[in-house]
Amino acid sequence: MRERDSGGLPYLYLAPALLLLAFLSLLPNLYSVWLAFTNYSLNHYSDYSFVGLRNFARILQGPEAATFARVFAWTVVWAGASVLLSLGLGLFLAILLNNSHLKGRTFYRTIFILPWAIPAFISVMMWQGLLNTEFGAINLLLANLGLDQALAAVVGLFTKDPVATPIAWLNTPGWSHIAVLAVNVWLAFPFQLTTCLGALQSVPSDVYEAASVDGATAGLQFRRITVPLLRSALLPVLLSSFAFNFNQFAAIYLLTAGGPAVPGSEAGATDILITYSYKLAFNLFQYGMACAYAIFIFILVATLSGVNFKLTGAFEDAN
Amino acid sequence: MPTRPNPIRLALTHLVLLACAGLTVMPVVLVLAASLRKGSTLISTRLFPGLDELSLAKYHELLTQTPFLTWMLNTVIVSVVASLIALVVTALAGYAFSRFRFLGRKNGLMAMMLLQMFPAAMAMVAVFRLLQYLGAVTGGVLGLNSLLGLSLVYIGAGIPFNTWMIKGYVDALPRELEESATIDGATPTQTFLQVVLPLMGPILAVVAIFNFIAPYSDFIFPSVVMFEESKYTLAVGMQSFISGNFSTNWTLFAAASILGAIPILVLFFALQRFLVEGLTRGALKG
Repeated sequence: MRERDSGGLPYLYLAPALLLLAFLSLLPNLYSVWLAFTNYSLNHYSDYSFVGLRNFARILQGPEAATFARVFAWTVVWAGASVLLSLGLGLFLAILLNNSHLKGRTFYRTIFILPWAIPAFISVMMWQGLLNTEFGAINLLLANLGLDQALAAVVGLFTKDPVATPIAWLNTPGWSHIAVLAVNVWLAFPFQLTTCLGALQSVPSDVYEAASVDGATAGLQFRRITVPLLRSALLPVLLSSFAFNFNQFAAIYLLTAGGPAVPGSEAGATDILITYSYKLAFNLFQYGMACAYAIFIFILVATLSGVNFKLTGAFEDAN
Repeated sequence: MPTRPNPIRLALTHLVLLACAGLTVMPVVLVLAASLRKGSTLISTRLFPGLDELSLAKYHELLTQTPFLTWMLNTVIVSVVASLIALVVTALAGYAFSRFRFLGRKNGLMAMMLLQMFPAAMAMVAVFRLLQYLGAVTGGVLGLNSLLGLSLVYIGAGIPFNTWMIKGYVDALPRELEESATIDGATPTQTFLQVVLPLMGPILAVVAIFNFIAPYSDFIFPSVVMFEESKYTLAVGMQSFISGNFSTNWTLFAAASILGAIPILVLFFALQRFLVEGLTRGALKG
């Protein structure tokens, strides 16, 4: 690359982007960090002050500790299960679709990409209506097929209490966890399907042909060629999807609003860190605490992104 | 794979794919069916309306008796403003990072990547306060309840990713044309505007559409900064249809869902190839 002395011109080109970044990204983020160390809240709206690590102490060892532990654990389960289930489904469908003898592949791909092409807030609100206990189409469908009693009976074997029908998908712990996960898998599998299909199609077919000539069975080809290639292609996707689901606000907030309520805690059964932070800020007006929670989210997401950058060598692109 | 097609396996594959396709479209079909009903409630023992029950009454009600069109217009204004400003700003920055060598270039690129790690929602409270402040300073032009103010939120959040994407694209463009333009006496800015910018068309289209879809689809920020019904975006407005009273507004909401999804559906399927490639690559980059 030929070095070019461009004088002040590059800075002129960069100025609008840097100015907007400084005011709209850097400043709010730094301000958030600062607020996490203050008692800014409805009670201290105009006279808030620096309180050091008090918010963090309250979260980690104070009265909030139990809530934090529960919300944190569910956030990890939620993000992990969302990624694994949507990746599993996406990979399964991609393997089925990656078959040149199969007719109608474009048709299937178009259908499977549909959940990705609808704005997520609309899909999630649709699902909220469909999962309505008394009037929702899902329970109606299950009842018409005679499946609601059967489902309740099977689940009843594992729980001590009998399961009531119609099933209160969004209002009972357990069912609401299943419901938010199922909806999120519906939202997320098209993306995973697309990445998996891309990775599968990037394997040159002569690799498989050579393996066949050498007498490798289909199963062996899958284990020795497909899986290793997929692993390196999918690991970064896995990590960034995990980080994405940490902040998957709409899928939880618009479906259950974090509910059902948990006695003795401000956080509901399906609240994740981001929805709880939102609730602390805009329903309970505890801005300082909300920002302290946001810092935990940042640390987790930044760690994941850091690992990801290392893996993909993204930092080298800065050259 | 050089295996013969096995008809039984093919049939089974179709069976599984059809079942999954059915489950994928099911919610959309159910909502479409609900939007074509005359009544207003969820209460019905039949999943699908009979042919004699079909009607566009709910669409008519939605467009004439609710602020739906205002919300749609607000959403489009926010998204278009955000998209255009992001486009101009990141085209300049992406080009500069790709073609110029200057002090702080590498650190600038790294800083952008680090800023990208901050989840946008982390700054919810700060953005709220910032807009509150801007509103007081600008007499409401940029503050809470302002469409322009909401656009700003998205521009800030998207700059790093978009700049990186454009830089990557320009990196891959051949330099010969620029070099001959320079030899012919063109200034660097003339070279950018007349030689490189026309070649950046495809990536600029992708960036413009990304930055249109993201604000259109967002719920969290408009719910934080918009308080007046006349300033709602689609996401917040549609939520106000259903919050608390889903059963009475279900069919109206269903009609809104269908109309609200159409612009993005059309964009997505028209440009599927570019978008999917860009989005998956973006995800690979973190």
